[in-house]
Amino acid sequence: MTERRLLELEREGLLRPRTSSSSPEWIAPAADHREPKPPTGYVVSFAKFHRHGLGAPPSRFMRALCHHYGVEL
Amino acid sequence: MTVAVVFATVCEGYLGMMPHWDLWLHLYRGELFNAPTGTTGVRKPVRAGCLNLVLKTGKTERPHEYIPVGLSSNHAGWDSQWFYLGNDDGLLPAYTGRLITERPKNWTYGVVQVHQSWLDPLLDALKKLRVEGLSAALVLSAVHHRRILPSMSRPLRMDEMGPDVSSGDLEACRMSNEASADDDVAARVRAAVAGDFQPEHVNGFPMRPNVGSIDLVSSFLAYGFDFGFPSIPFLSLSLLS
Repeated sequence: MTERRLLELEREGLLRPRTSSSSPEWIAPAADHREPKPPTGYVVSFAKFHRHGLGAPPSRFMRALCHHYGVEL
Repeated sequence: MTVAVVFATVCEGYLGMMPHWDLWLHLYRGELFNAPTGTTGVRKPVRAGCLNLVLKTGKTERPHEYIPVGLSSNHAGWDSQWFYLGNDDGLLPAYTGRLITERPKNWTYGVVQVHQSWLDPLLDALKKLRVEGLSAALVLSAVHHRRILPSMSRPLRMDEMGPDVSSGDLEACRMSNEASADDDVAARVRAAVAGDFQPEHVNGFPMRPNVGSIDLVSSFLAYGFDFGFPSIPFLSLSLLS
């Protein structure tokens, strides 16, 4: 997932704009990340989720779903 | 994701309450998805997308209690488009990459018996929405028309986004300052749900408190509730308290 495509999501209002360079709201994975290796304080998300209504910070209901079913995003 | 978004919107935008956990458990169960391996009868666990949220529509369950939710089946390649999302205050479970190989028992839990009758007014209200023609496609079109992300924490519930609230709160709920074109909204709806949703149907079933939204207050009054349905606890999971 490239930074350019994530910026498109941001422009479409589906991803929060980045407001900090030290702890940005989202990060494009490095080119050598074949498997997810999120930095501390980050989780793995998918563009499709945001196109279908996922927002951050997550609502209480979304958090409840993740915790109840024991799944990560 | 889509089923959770539609459910949250039905609760907030049409029933006028926070997403109701018992109603969720009544309507949905979780199923484990395993990917095919190419060998007949052999499947493997997946790291992304292992949980399928399935509407309980079997003969032994409770058919026709919810609005029609026919999802799009064209999601090829979605799991390759991943990135890192800031986990605000650790609200979401931390990433571990673990695989779920068996369906946990609680994925199929329903509502505890003592709470079942409490759902009656909500099921009546859902029936009214269904009879009036509400569908997942119309719900999603109302979501995009209003420029909100239903699963995002917001200062206002969807039914509270009326003309009398502060502009600051409204802005904090919206993801964009500019309204989307109906063509774009319809395309987003078609990407999520089955069918050929057309731009002229965008916001064809408005959410509360918009003009044209359906009044369900009388449904709740019949059961002795004065407004909305806020009296049942949303969730009792201690880990969220």
